[in-house]
Amino acid sequence: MSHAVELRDVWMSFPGKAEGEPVHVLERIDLSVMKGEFVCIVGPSGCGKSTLLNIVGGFLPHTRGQVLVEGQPVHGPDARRIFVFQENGIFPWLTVTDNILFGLDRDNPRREELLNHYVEMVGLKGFEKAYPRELSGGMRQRVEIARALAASPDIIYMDEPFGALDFLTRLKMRTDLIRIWQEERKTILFVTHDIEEAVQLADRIIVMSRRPASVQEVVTVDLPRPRDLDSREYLATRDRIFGIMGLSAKVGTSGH
Amino acid sequence: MSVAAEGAAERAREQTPPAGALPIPAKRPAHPALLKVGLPLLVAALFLLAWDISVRLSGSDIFPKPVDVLRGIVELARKGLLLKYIVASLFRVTVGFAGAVIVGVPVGLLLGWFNRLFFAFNPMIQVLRPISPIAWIPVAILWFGVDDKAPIFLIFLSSVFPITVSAMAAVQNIQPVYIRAARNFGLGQMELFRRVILPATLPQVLTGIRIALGVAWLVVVAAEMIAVNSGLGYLIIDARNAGKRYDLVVAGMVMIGLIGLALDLLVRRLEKFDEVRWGYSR
Repeated sequence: MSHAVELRDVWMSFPGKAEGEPVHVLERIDLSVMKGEFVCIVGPSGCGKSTLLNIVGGFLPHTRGQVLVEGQPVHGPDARRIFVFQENGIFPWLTVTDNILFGLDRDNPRREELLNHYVEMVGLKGFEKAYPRELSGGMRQRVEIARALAASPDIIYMDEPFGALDFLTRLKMRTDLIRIWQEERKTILFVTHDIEEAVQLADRIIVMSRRPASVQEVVTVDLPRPRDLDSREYLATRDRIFGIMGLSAKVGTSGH
Repeated sequence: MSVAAEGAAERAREQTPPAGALPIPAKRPAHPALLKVGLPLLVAALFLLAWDISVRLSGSDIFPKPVDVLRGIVELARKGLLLKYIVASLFRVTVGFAGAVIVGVPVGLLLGWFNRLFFAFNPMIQVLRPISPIAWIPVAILWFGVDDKAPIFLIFLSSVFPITVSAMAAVQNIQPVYIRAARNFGLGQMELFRRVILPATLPQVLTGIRIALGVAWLVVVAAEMIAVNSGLGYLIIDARNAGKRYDLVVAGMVMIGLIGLALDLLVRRLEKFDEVRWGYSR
Protein backbone atom coordinates (compact mmCIF):
# COMPACT_ATOMS: atom_id res chain seq x y z
CA MET A 1 0.00 0.00 0.00
CA SER A 2 1.22 3.48 -0.77
CA HIS A 3 0.88 6.70 1.15
CA ALA A 4 -2.16 8.89 0.60
CA VAL A 5 -0.91 11.54 3.03
CA GLU A 6 2.58 11.98 4.35
CA LEU A 7 3.89 14.69 6.66
CA ARG A 8 7.61 15.03 7.31
CA ASP A 9 8.84 17.29 10.08
CA VAL A 10 5.99 19.78 9.66
CA TRP A 11 6.02 22.94 11.76
CA MET A 12 3.49 25.69 11.94
CA SER A 13 3.81 28.96 13.82
CA PHE A 14 2.10 32.33 13.86
CA PRO A 15 4.01 35.56 14.25
CA GLY A 16 3.52 36.41 17.94
CA LYS A 17 2.53 39.70 19.50
CA ALA A 18 6.00 40.43 20.83
CA GLU A 19 8.59 40.75 18.09
CA GLY A 20 10.73 37.76 17.31
CA GLU A 21 8.60 35.48 19.45
CA PRO A 22 6.50 33.33 17.11
CA VAL A 23 3.72 31.22 18.60
CA HIS A 24 4.27 27.58 17.79
CA VAL A 25 1.12 25.65 17.01
CA LEU A 26 2.60 22.49 15.52
CA GLU A 27 6.07 21.03 16.09
CA ARG A 28 7.88 18.37 14.11
CA ILE A 29 4.80 16.49 12.97
CA ASP A 30 5.55 13.20 11.24
CA LEU A 31 2.65 11.08 10.14
CA SER A 32 1.38 9.05 7.27
CA VAL A 33 -1.95 7.74 6.07
CA MET A 34 -2.16 4.75 3.75
CA LYS A 35 -4.51 4.57 0.79
CA GLY A 36 -7.95 3.41 1.91
CA GLU A 37 -7.08 3.79 5.56
CA PHE A 38 -9.33 5.41 8.18
CA VAL A 39 -7.14 7.49 10.47
CA CYS A 40 -8.31 9.60 13.38
CA ILE A 41 -6.40 12.47 14.94
CA VAL A 42 -7.29 13.05 18.59
CA GLY A 43 -5.97 15.58 21.04
CA PRO A 44 -7.04 18.04 23.67
CA SER A 45 -9.27 20.92 22.58
CA GLY A 46 -7.33 23.75 21.00
CA CYS A 47 -4.17 21.71 20.53
CA GLY A 48 -3.93 22.44 16.83
CA LYS A 49 -5.30 19.23 15.33
CA SER A 50 -7.82 21.21 13.28
CA THR A 51 -4.98 23.47 12.11
CA LEU A 52 -3.11 20.36 11.07
CA LEU A 53 -6.05 19.11 9.01
CA ASN A 54 -6.42 22.53 7.38
CA ILE A 55 -2.76 22.43 6.38
CA VAL A 56 -3.17 18.99 4.83
CA GLY A 57 -6.35 20.24 3.10
CA GLY A 58 -4.48 23.17 1.58
CA PHE A 59 -6.40 25.88 3.46
CA LEU A 60 -3.52 27.00 5.67
CA PRO A 61 0.20 27.30 4.98
CA HIS A 62 2.76 25.52 7.13
CA THR A 63 6.02 27.05 8.24
CA ARG A 64 8.47 24.21 7.74
CA GLY A 65 8.68 20.64 6.55
CA GLN A 66 6.95 18.67 3.83
CA VAL A 67 3.25 18.01 3.32
CA LEU A 68 2.71 15.41 0.62
CA VAL A 69 -0.64 14.17 -0.63
CA GLU A 70 -0.53 11.39 -3.21
CA GLY A 71 3.20 12.05 -3.34
CA GLN A 72 2.78 15.71 -4.37
CA PRO A 73 3.36 18.81 -2.23
CA VAL A 74 0.11 20.58 -1.27
CA HIS A 75 -0.34 24.07 -2.72
CA GLY A 76 -4.02 24.66 -2.01
CA PRO A 77 -7.37 22.97 -1.86
CA ASP A 78 -7.96 20.33 -4.49
CA ALA A 79 -11.19 18.80 -5.79
CA ARG A 80 -9.68 15.32 -5.48
CA ARG A 81 -9.67 15.69 -1.70
CA ILE A 82 -12.84 17.00 -0.13
CA PHE A 83 -13.12 18.61 3.28
CA VAL A 84 -16.17 17.99 5.48
CA PHE A 85 -16.72 20.81 7.95
CA GLN A 86 -17.99 20.74 11.51
CA GLU A 87 -21.37 22.24 10.68
CA ASN A 88 -23.23 24.33 8.13
CA GLY A 89 -20.80 23.53 5.35
CA ILE A 90 -23.61 22.95 2.85
CA PHE A 91 -25.13 25.80 0.89
CA PRO A 92 -28.45 26.95 2.41
CA TRP A 93 -29.70 28.42 -0.88
CA LEU A 94 -29.53 25.05 -2.65
CA THR A 95 -31.76 22.01 -2.29
CA VAL A 96 -30.37 18.68 -1.09
CA THR A 97 -30.06 17.63 -4.74
CA ASP A 98 -28.17 20.74 -5.84
CA ASN A 99 -25.91 20.55 -2.81
CA ILE A 100 -24.98 16.93 -3.50
CA LEU A 101 -24.33 17.67 -7.18
CA PHE A 102 -22.39 20.86 -6.43
CA GLY A 103 -18.99 19.38 -7.27
CA LEU A 104 -20.10 17.78 -10.56
CA ASP A 105 -20.02 19.35 -14.02
CA ARG A 106 -23.40 20.32 -15.46
CA ASP A 107 -22.86 18.00 -18.41
CA ASN A 108 -21.71 15.04 -16.36
CA PRO A 109 -23.82 12.18 -17.75
CA ARG A 110 -23.84 10.34 -14.43
CA ARG A 111 -25.48 13.12 -12.38
CA GLU A 112 -28.82 11.33 -11.91
CA GLU A 113 -27.18 8.03 -11.15
CA LEU A 114 -24.72 9.51 -8.64
CA LEU A 115 -27.44 11.55 -6.98
CA ASN A 116 -29.66 8.52 -6.46
CA HIS A 117 -26.76 6.42 -5.29
CA TYR A 118 -25.58 8.85 -2.62
CA VAL A 119 -29.00 10.03 -1.51
CA GLU A 120 -29.75 6.38 -0.85
CA MET A 121 -26.40 5.76 0.83
CA VAL A 122 -26.78 8.58 3.36
CA GLY A 123 -30.45 7.81 3.96
CA LEU A 124 -32.03 10.97 2.58
CA LYS A 125 -34.43 9.42 0.08
CA GLY A 126 -37.53 11.61 -0.14
CA PHE A 127 -35.62 14.74 0.92
CA GLU A 128 -34.09 15.55 -2.47
CA LYS A 129 -36.08 18.76 -2.88
CA ALA A 130 -35.76 19.95 0.71
CA TYR A 131 -33.70 22.96 1.69
CA PRO A 132 -31.10 22.70 4.48
CA ARG A 133 -33.20 24.82 6.84
CA GLU A 134 -35.88 22.12 6.68
CA LEU A 135 -33.42 19.45 7.82
CA SER A 136 -32.02 18.49 11.20
CA GLY A 137 -28.33 18.94 12.04
CA GLY A 138 -27.63 15.25 11.47
CA MET A 139 -29.38 15.28 8.11
CA ARG A 140 -27.40 18.33 7.03
CA GLN A 141 -24.15 16.53 7.86
CA ARG A 142 -25.36 13.58 5.76
CA VAL A 143 -25.93 15.96 2.85
CA GLU A 144 -22.39 17.25 3.25
CA ILE A 145 -20.97 13.73 3.32
CA ALA A 146 -22.98 12.87 0.19
CA ARG A 147 -21.74 16.05 -1.50
CA ALA A 148 -18.16 15.04 -0.72
CA LEU A 149 -18.64 11.46 -1.98
CA ALA A 150 -20.45 12.51 -5.17
CA ALA A 151 -17.38 14.48 -6.25
CA SER A 152 -15.56 11.10 -6.14
CA PRO A 153 -12.50 12.29 -4.23
CA ASP A 154 -9.60 10.01 -3.34
CA ILE A 155 -9.43 11.34 0.20
CA ILE A 156 -11.98 12.84 2.58
CA TYR A 157 -10.87 15.15 5.38
CA MET A 158 -13.33 15.44 8.24
CA ASP A 159 -12.97 18.14 10.89
CA GLU A 160 -15.09 17.10 13.88
CA PRO A 161 -18.01 16.51 11.51
CA PHE A 162 -20.28 15.20 14.25
CA GLY A 163 -19.14 17.61 16.95
CA ALA A 164 -22.30 19.72 16.89
CA LEU A 165 -24.69 16.76 17.04
CA ASP A 166 -26.29 15.22 20.08
CA PHE A 167 -25.04 11.94 21.54
CA LEU A 168 -27.51 9.51 19.94
CA THR A 169 -27.29 11.11 16.50
CA ARG A 170 -23.52 11.00 16.78
CA LEU A 171 -23.57 7.26 17.49
CA LYS A 172 -25.80 6.64 14.47
CA MET A 173 -23.65 8.83 12.23
CA ARG A 174 -20.53 6.87 13.22
CA THR A 175 -22.14 3.55 12.34
CA ASP A 176 -23.30 4.96 9.02
CA LEU A 177 -19.92 6.49 8.24
CA ILE A 178 -18.21 3.14 8.80
CA ARG A 179 -20.71 1.42 6.53
CA ILE A 180 -20.17 4.08 3.82
CA TRP A 181 -16.40 3.86 4.18
CA GLN A 182 -16.54 0.09 3.82
CA GLU A 183 -18.60 0.44 0.63
CA GLU A 184 -16.54 3.25 -0.89
CA ARG A 185 -13.04 2.53 0.44
CA LYS A 186 -11.96 6.15 0.44
CA THR A 187 -9.04 7.30 2.52
CA ILE A 188 -10.43 9.20 5.51
CA LEU A 189 -8.50 11.52 7.80
CA PHE A 190 -10.80 12.42 10.67
CA VAL A 191 -10.16 14.94 13.44
CA THR A 192 -12.02 14.61 16.73
CA HIS A 193 -11.56 15.46 20.39
CA ASP A 194 -13.78 12.51 21.28
CA ILE A 195 -11.61 9.50 22.16
CA GLU A 196 -14.50 7.03 22.02
CA GLU A 197 -15.39 8.26 18.56
CA ALA A 198 -11.82 7.69 17.40
CA VAL A 199 -11.69 4.16 18.82
CA GLN A 200 -15.03 3.28 17.22
CA LEU A 201 -13.98 4.55 13.80
CA ALA A 202 -10.27 4.35 13.14
CA ASP A 203 -7.76 1.84 11.85
CA ARG A 204 -5.12 3.97 13.49
CA ILE A 205 -5.32 6.83 15.95
CA ILE A 206 -2.79 9.62 16.05
CA VAL A 207 -2.70 11.08 19.55
CA MET A 208 -1.55 14.69 19.71
CA SER A 209 -0.02 16.43 22.68
CA ARG A 210 -1.03 19.80 24.10
CA ARG A 211 0.03 22.95 22.30
CA PRO A 212 2.49 23.27 20.68
CA ALA A 213 1.19 19.99 19.32
CA SER A 214 3.30 17.10 18.23
CA VAL A 215 2.48 13.45 17.64
CA GLN A 216 2.54 11.83 21.02
CA GLU A 217 1.73 8.30 20.01
CA VAL A 218 0.13 6.33 17.20
CA VAL A 219 -2.27 3.61 18.30
CA THR A 220 -3.36 0.86 15.94
CA VAL A 221 -6.92 -0.30 16.54
CA ASP A 222 -7.00 -3.85 15.26
CA LEU A 223 -10.62 -4.66 16.06
CA PRO A 224 -13.19 -6.11 13.66
CA ARG A 225 -16.09 -3.91 12.54
CA PRO A 226 -18.82 -3.33 13.55
CA ARG A 227 -17.07 -2.81 16.85
CA ASP A 228 -18.47 -4.13 20.07
CA LEU A 229 -18.37 -1.20 22.45
CA ASP A 230 -18.50 -3.50 25.46
CA SER A 231 -15.66 -5.78 24.41
CA ARG A 232 -12.56 -5.93 26.56
CA GLU A 233 -10.29 -5.03 23.66
CA TYR A 234 -12.32 -1.93 22.82
CA LEU A 235 -12.31 -0.73 26.40
CA ALA A 236 -8.61 -1.44 26.78
CA THR A 237 -7.76 0.57 23.67
CA ARG A 238 -9.94 3.43 24.83
CA ASP A 239 -8.39 3.46 28.30
CA ARG A 240 -4.94 3.32 26.82
CA ILE A 241 -5.59 6.53 24.88
CA PHE A 242 -7.10 8.18 27.92
CA GLY A 243 -3.86 7.24 29.66
CA ILE A 244 -1.68 8.67 26.92
CA MET A 245 -3.60 11.93 27.11
CA GLY A 246 -3.05 12.02 30.84
CA LEU A 247 -6.66 11.47 31.79
CA SER A 248 -8.06 8.90 34.14
CA ALA A 249 -10.32 6.51 32.28
CA LYS A 250 -12.78 6.69 35.16
CA VAL A 251 -13.33 10.41 34.61
CA GLY A 252 -13.52 10.22 30.87
CA THR A 253 -15.98 7.39 30.30
CA SER A 254 -19.00 9.56 29.61
CA GLY A 255 -17.83 10.17 26.08
CA HIS A 256 -17.22 13.89 26.41
CA MET B 1 -45.93 13.94 6.59
CA SER B 2 -44.38 16.68 4.51
CA VAL B 3 -40.66 16.85 4.04
CA ALA B 4 -40.46 20.03 6.04
CA ALA B 5 -42.48 18.59 8.90
CA GLU B 6 -40.39 15.43 8.95
CA GLY B 7 -37.20 17.45 8.98
CA ALA B 8 -38.52 19.62 11.77
CA ALA B 9 -39.52 16.57 13.79
CA GLU B 10 -36.09 15.01 13.52
CA ARG B 11 -34.51 18.36 14.19
CA ALA B 12 -36.54 18.72 17.35
CA ARG B 13 -35.55 15.23 18.41
CA GLU B 14 -31.83 15.56 17.96
CA GLN B 15 -31.03 19.16 18.56
CA THR B 16 -29.73 20.11 21.93
CA PRO B 17 -30.45 23.74 22.75
CA PRO B 18 -27.35 25.92 23.05
CA ALA B 19 -26.12 26.29 26.59
CA GLY B 20 -27.93 29.00 28.50
CA ALA B 21 -30.75 29.32 26.00
CA LEU B 22 -33.94 27.80 27.29
CA PRO B 23 -36.69 27.44 24.73
CA ILE B 24 -39.42 29.96 25.47
CA PRO B 25 -42.86 28.65 24.62
CA ALA B 26 -44.50 31.05 22.19
CA LYS B 27 -47.87 32.40 23.24
CA ARG B 28 -50.32 31.51 20.54
CA PRO B 29 -53.27 33.86 20.11
CA ALA B 30 -56.58 32.05 19.89
CA HIS B 31 -57.56 33.43 16.47
CA PRO B 32 -54.37 34.67 14.79
CA ALA B 33 -56.07 35.73 11.54
CA LEU B 34 -58.79 37.65 13.34
CA LEU B 35 -56.22 39.39 15.54
CA LYS B 36 -53.85 40.20 12.70
CA VAL B 37 -56.57 41.88 10.66
CA GLY B 38 -59.02 42.93 13.33
CA LEU B 39 -56.65 44.73 15.70
CA PRO B 40 -55.05 47.02 13.10
CA LEU B 41 -58.51 47.86 11.74
CA LEU B 42 -59.68 48.69 15.24
CA VAL B 43 -56.68 50.96 15.82
CA ALA B 44 -57.25 52.68 12.45
CA ALA B 45 -60.92 53.24 13.29
CA LEU B 46 -60.03 54.71 16.69
CA PHE B 47 -57.45 56.96 15.06
CA LEU B 48 -59.95 58.29 12.51
CA LEU B 49 -62.49 58.84 15.25
CA ALA B 50 -60.00 60.76 17.42
CA TRP B 51 -58.96 62.83 14.39
CA ASP B 52 -62.55 63.66 13.53
CA ILE B 53 -63.45 64.60 17.12
CA SER B 54 -60.34 66.77 17.59
CA VAL B 55 -61.01 68.76 14.40
CA ARG B 56 -64.64 69.29 15.44
CA LEU B 57 -63.64 70.34 18.96
CA SER B 58 -60.98 72.75 17.69
CA GLY B 59 -63.49 74.41 15.39
CA SER B 60 -60.85 74.70 12.64
CA ASP B 61 -62.22 75.34 9.18
CA ILE B 62 -58.85 74.86 7.50
CA PHE B 63 -57.71 71.51 8.82
CA PRO B 64 -59.81 68.74 7.23
CA LYS B 65 -61.80 65.98 8.89
CA PRO B 66 -61.27 62.44 7.55
CA VAL B 67 -64.40 62.70 5.45
CA ASP B 68 -63.09 65.94 3.85
CA VAL B 69 -59.90 64.14 2.92
CA LEU B 70 -61.89 61.33 1.35
CA ARG B 71 -63.86 63.93 -0.67
CA GLY B 72 -60.55 65.52 -1.65
CA ILE B 73 -59.24 62.21 -2.95
CA VAL B 74 -62.43 61.67 -4.94
CA GLU B 75 -62.15 65.20 -6.37
CA LEU B 76 -58.56 64.59 -7.44
CA ALA B 77 -59.51 61.28 -9.01
CA ARG B 78 -62.37 62.90 -10.98
CA LYS B 79 -60.07 65.59 -12.35
CA GLY B 80 -57.63 62.88 -13.39
CA LEU B 81 -54.90 64.47 -11.28
CA LEU B 82 -54.61 61.65 -8.76
CA LEU B 83 -53.53 59.00 -11.26
CA LYS B 84 -51.36 61.51 -13.14
CA TYR B 85 -49.45 62.52 -10.01
CA ILE B 86 -49.09 58.98 -8.73
CA VAL B 87 -47.71 57.87 -12.10
CA ALA B 88 -45.35 60.86 -12.19
CA SER B 89 -43.96 60.07 -8.72
CA LEU B 90 -43.70 56.34 -9.36
CA PHE B 91 -41.98 56.96 -12.67
CA ARG B 92 -39.27 59.07 -11.02
CA VAL B 93 -38.77 56.55 -8.26
CA THR B 94 -38.59 53.67 -10.72
CA VAL B 95 -35.96 55.29 -12.91
CA GLY B 96 -33.81 56.69 -10.09
CA PHE B 97 -34.10 53.56 -8.00
CA ALA B 98 -33.39 51.18 -10.89
CA GLY B 99 -30.25 53.21 -11.59
CA ALA B 100 -29.23 52.90 -7.94
CA VAL B 101 -29.69 49.10 -7.99
CA ILE B 102 -27.79 48.76 -11.27
CA VAL B 103 -24.86 50.78 -9.92
CA GLY B 104 -25.04 50.00 -6.19
CA VAL B 105 -25.23 46.20 -6.19
CA PRO B 106 -22.20 45.51 -8.43
CA VAL B 107 -20.14 48.29 -6.86
CA GLY B 108 -20.99 47.05 -3.35
CA LEU B 109 -20.15 43.45 -4.22
CA LEU B 110 -16.80 44.50 -5.74
CA LEU B 111 -15.90 46.68 -2.76
CA GLY B 112 -16.86 43.86 -0.40
CA TRP B 113 -14.76 41.31 -2.24
CA PHE B 114 -11.60 43.27 -3.06
CA ASN B 115 -10.00 44.64 0.10
CA ARG B 116 -7.97 47.26 -1.75
CA LEU B 117 -11.02 48.75 -3.40
CA PHE B 118 -12.75 48.76 -0.02
CA PHE B 119 -9.88 50.60 1.67
CA ALA B 120 -9.68 53.07 -1.19
CA PHE B 121 -13.35 53.94 -1.59
CA ASN B 122 -15.06 53.21 1.71
CA PRO B 123 -14.02 56.44 3.50
CA MET B 124 -15.36 58.50 0.59
CA ILE B 125 -18.65 56.60 0.69
CA GLN B 126 -18.93 57.08 4.43
CA VAL B 127 -18.51 60.85 4.00
CA LEU B 128 -21.06 61.15 1.19
CA ARG B 129 -23.58 58.81 2.77
CA PRO B 130 -24.72 60.95 5.72
CA ILE B 131 -25.40 63.99 3.51
CA SER B 132 -29.18 64.18 3.31
CA PRO B 133 -30.50 64.02 -0.26
CA ILE B 134 -32.47 67.16 0.64
CA ALA B 135 -29.15 69.02 0.88
CA TRP B 136 -28.50 68.07 -2.73
CA ILE B 137 -31.68 69.75 -4.01
CA PRO B 138 -30.05 73.12 -4.88
CA VAL B 139 -27.20 71.28 -6.59
CA ALA B 140 -29.64 69.09 -8.50
CA ILE B 141 -31.56 72.13 -9.72
CA LEU B 142 -28.32 73.80 -10.77
CA TRP B 143 -27.25 70.76 -12.75
CA PHE B 144 -30.55 69.55 -14.16
CA GLY B 145 -32.91 72.50 -13.98
CA VAL B 146 -36.59 72.20 -13.12
CA ASP B 147 -37.14 68.92 -14.86
CA ASP B 148 -37.71 65.20 -14.22
CA LYS B 149 -33.96 64.70 -14.14
CA ALA B 150 -33.49 66.56 -10.86
CA PRO B 151 -35.74 64.35 -8.68
CA ILE B 152 -34.50 61.24 -10.48
CA PHE B 153 -30.96 62.22 -9.62
CA LEU B 154 -31.93 62.84 -5.99
CA ILE B 155 -33.65 59.45 -5.75
CA PHE B 156 -30.64 57.77 -7.28
CA LEU B 157 -28.41 59.51 -4.78
CA SER B 158 -30.57 58.64 -1.79
CA SER B 159 -30.81 54.92 -2.60
CA VAL B 160 -27.42 54.16 -4.10
CA PHE B 161 -25.60 54.45 -0.76
CA PRO B 162 -27.76 52.11 1.34
CA ILE B 163 -27.71 49.59 -1.52
CA THR B 164 -23.93 49.80 -1.99
CA VAL B 165 -23.23 49.56 1.72
CA SER B 166 -25.52 46.59 2.28
CA ALA B 167 -24.05 44.70 -0.70
CA MET B 168 -20.56 45.46 0.60
CA ALA B 169 -21.40 44.24 4.10
CA ALA B 170 -23.15 41.18 2.66
CA VAL B 171 -19.94 40.04 0.95
CA GLN B 172 -17.86 40.73 4.03
CA ASN B 173 -20.29 38.71 6.16
CA ILE B 174 -20.33 35.60 3.98
CA GLN B 175 -19.60 32.56 6.13
CA PRO B 176 -15.98 31.66 5.31
CA VAL B 177 -16.98 27.99 5.19
CA TYR B 178 -18.97 28.60 1.95
CA ILE B 179 -15.96 30.13 0.24
CA ARG B 180 -13.71 27.34 1.47
CA ALA B 181 -16.10 24.64 0.31
CA ALA B 182 -16.37 26.32 -3.09
CA ARG B 183 -12.58 26.54 -3.43
CA ASN B 184 -12.32 22.91 -2.39
CA PHE B 185 -14.58 21.93 -5.29
CA GLY B 186 -12.23 23.81 -7.61
CA LEU B 187 -14.41 26.79 -8.54
CA GLY B 188 -12.67 29.59 -10.45
CA GLN B 189 -13.28 33.27 -9.70
CA MET B 190 -16.24 33.67 -12.06
CA GLU B 191 -17.91 30.48 -10.92
CA LEU B 192 -17.25 31.33 -7.29
CA PHE B 193 -18.99 34.63 -7.84
CA ARG B 194 -21.97 33.20 -9.71
CA ARG B 195 -22.53 30.05 -7.67
CA VAL B 196 -21.57 31.21 -4.16
CA ILE B 197 -21.03 34.93 -3.60
CA LEU B 198 -24.15 36.06 -5.44
CA PRO B 199 -26.57 33.60 -3.80
CA ALA B 200 -24.90 33.95 -0.40
CA THR B 201 -25.30 37.73 -0.40
CA LEU B 202 -28.75 37.87 -1.97
CA PRO B 203 -30.79 38.00 1.28
CA GLN B 204 -28.82 40.91 2.73
CA VAL B 205 -28.72 42.72 -0.63
CA LEU B 206 -32.48 42.39 -0.84
CA THR B 207 -32.87 43.87 2.63
CA GLY B 208 -30.71 46.82 1.56
CA ILE B 209 -32.90 47.25 -1.51
CA ARG B 210 -36.03 47.30 0.63
CA ILE B 211 -34.62 49.94 2.99
CA ALA B 212 -33.41 52.02 0.05
CA LEU B 213 -36.80 51.90 -1.59
CA GLY B 214 -38.34 53.35 1.56
CA VAL B 215 -35.79 56.16 1.53
CA ALA B 216 -36.37 56.78 -2.20
CA TRP B 217 -40.07 57.16 -1.61
CA LEU B 218 -39.40 59.68 1.17
CA VAL B 219 -37.11 61.65 -1.08
CA VAL B 220 -39.29 61.80 -4.18
CA VAL B 221 -41.92 63.72 -2.24
CA ALA B 222 -39.38 66.23 -0.95
CA ALA B 223 -37.80 66.63 -4.37
CA GLU B 224 -41.14 67.21 -6.07
CA MET B 225 -41.96 70.02 -3.68
CA ILE B 226 -39.14 72.07 -5.14
CA ALA B 227 -37.88 70.84 -8.43
CA VAL B 228 -40.93 70.00 -10.58
CA ASN B 229 -44.62 70.70 -11.14
CA SER B 230 -46.21 67.28 -11.00
CA GLY B 231 -46.25 64.35 -8.61
CA LEU B 232 -47.55 63.80 -5.10
CA GLY B 233 -45.00 66.13 -3.51
CA TYR B 234 -46.01 68.88 -5.92
CA LEU B 235 -49.67 68.18 -5.13
CA ILE B 236 -49.07 68.85 -1.45
CA ILE B 237 -47.12 72.07 -1.85
CA ASP B 238 -49.42 73.30 -4.62
CA ALA B 239 -52.61 72.62 -2.63
CA ARG B 240 -51.21 74.62 0.25
CA ASN B 241 -49.97 77.54 -1.83
CA ALA B 242 -53.01 77.80 -4.09
CA GLY B 243 -55.81 78.44 -1.60
CA LYS B 244 -54.86 76.56 1.53
CA ARG B 245 -56.59 73.39 0.38
CA TYR B 246 -55.54 71.32 3.39
CA ASP B 247 -58.00 68.58 2.48
CA LEU B 248 -55.86 68.00 -0.63
CA VAL B 249 -52.62 68.31 1.37
CA VAL B 250 -53.72 65.50 3.68
CA ALA B 251 -55.15 63.55 0.73
CA GLY B 252 -51.66 63.66 -0.79
CA MET B 253 -50.14 62.49 2.49
CA VAL B 254 -52.57 59.57 2.71
CA MET B 255 -51.74 58.48 -0.83
CA ILE B 256 -48.01 58.68 -0.09
CA GLY B 257 -48.47 56.49 2.98
CA LEU B 258 -50.56 53.89 1.16
CA ILE B 259 -48.22 53.65 -1.84
CA GLY B 260 -45.21 53.45 0.47
CA LEU B 261 -46.84 50.53 2.27
CA ALA B 262 -47.61 48.83 -1.06
CA LEU B 263 -44.00 49.19 -2.23
CA ASP B 264 -42.69 47.69 1.01
CA LEU B 265 -45.10 44.75 0.84
CA LEU B 266 -44.02 44.15 -2.74
CA VAL B 267 -40.34 43.85 -1.84
CA ARG B 268 -41.15 41.80 1.26
CA ARG B 269 -42.78 39.24 -1.00
CA LEU B 270 -39.42 38.74 -2.69
CA GLU B 271 -37.99 37.75 0.69
CA LYS B 272 -40.27 34.71 0.75
CA PHE B 273 -38.50 32.93 -2.10
CA ASP B 274 -36.60 29.75 -1.18
CA GLU B 275 -33.37 31.15 -2.64
CA VAL B 276 -33.24 33.87 0.03
CA ARG B 277 -35.50 32.71 2.85
CA TRP B 278 -32.64 30.92 4.61
CA GLY B 279 -31.04 34.31 5.22
CA TYR B 280 -33.88 35.66 7.34
CA SER B 281 -34.77 32.83 9.72
CA ARG B 282 -33.17 33.23 13.08
